Amino acid sequence: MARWRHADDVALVSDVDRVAVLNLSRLDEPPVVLTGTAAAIWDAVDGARDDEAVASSVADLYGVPVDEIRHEVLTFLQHLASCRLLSRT
Amino acid sequence: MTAATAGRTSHALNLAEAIPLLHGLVDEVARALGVRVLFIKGPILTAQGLRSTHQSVDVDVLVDPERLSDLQQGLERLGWAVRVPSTSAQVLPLHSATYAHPVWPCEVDVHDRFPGFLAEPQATFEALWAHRTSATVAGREVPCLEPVAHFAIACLHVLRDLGSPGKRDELDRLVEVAKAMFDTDQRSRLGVLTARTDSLGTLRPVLEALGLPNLASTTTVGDLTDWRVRASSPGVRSVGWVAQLGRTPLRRWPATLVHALLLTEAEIRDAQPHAARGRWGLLRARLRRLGLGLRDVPRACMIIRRARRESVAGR
Repeated sequence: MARWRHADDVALVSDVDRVAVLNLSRLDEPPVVLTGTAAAIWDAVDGARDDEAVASSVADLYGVPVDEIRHEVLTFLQHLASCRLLSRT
Repeated sequence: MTAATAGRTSHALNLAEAIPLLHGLVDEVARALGVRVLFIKGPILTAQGLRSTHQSVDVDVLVDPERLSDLQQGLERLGWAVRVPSTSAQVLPLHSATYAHPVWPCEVDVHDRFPGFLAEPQATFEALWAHRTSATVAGREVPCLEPVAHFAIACLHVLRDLGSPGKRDELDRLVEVAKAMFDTDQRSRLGVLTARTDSLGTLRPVLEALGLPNLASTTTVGDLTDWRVRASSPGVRSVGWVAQLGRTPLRRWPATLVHALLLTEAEIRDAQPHAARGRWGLLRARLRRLGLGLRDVPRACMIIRRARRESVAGR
């Protein structure tokens, strides 16, 4: 299964429950600020986790069954990939 | 993206995020164009231990003077624009242009020189470039100055406004940090840098405090008069115009005076953001500025005369 990783060409500032990302290959686009669950999904991406592992990690963090959030997590991962903020290896 | 996650995604940066990310943006623009830049002040000064934690409100970047327009155009292509073009008279040459962007909460000051380095801007940049290193900002390695050279910049920044409240304490803190941080070799390198950038005169109080008396007693090549005027006139509104008239041939005084009285609407409204809209609001703002400026003229003349006397006396 493909693993998720952060794009190489991003500038990144993270704080508790909040991540701000600038795509350096798309400088005409504004930076993106992720908070709450969006930031948790970003943080769960570590270059080693695949779809299921990212969803499980977020589910564990929030103490909810993975089936409840899998769809949302995977959809958001795809969204970040379409923005070229994440890639699959 | 689902509604739950979408609600947690925005473009609303706070300053603590915007400042590091903007370092990344400017660095990327410069890299793509092959323009040499050095990030100065800001979070790097704090990271190097030269300043206590401090939330910067803008990004400062010193650019190779030969490639200034290239970097400016690169930023402009991304929607950055000079916020208010400056046409006001300055005691010292204009050293930077401030760029703003509608979606960013902070600005970037693009410098092609730094006040207090009296050598030519290109020679100064080359001397500083020899002291470059890098720092990690927003997860990216960006070019900056090693602490000795960054210290010189930080001191000049304070010395330029030494008469303003709190600046003397700020300078004392910088000197104390330098005494603890810099060994003999580093102090010697600071001396070489100040000689190459012709800042022996402007940095004299700092050099003396660091125990570099031989350097501190060396005379500077450039004229210190304007620096002395600038450093001793914080808050004196009309000093730039009085200095400008002193450099202007008499036949061009009328045009200079008219501009001094009117200035541009953008500059007037930038300085007085609460001025009422419309012509009458603008007129009242201009009259208010004129009143304050005229009140300061005698003081400005006195400061300039004193600075000239000191320069003639070689102090």
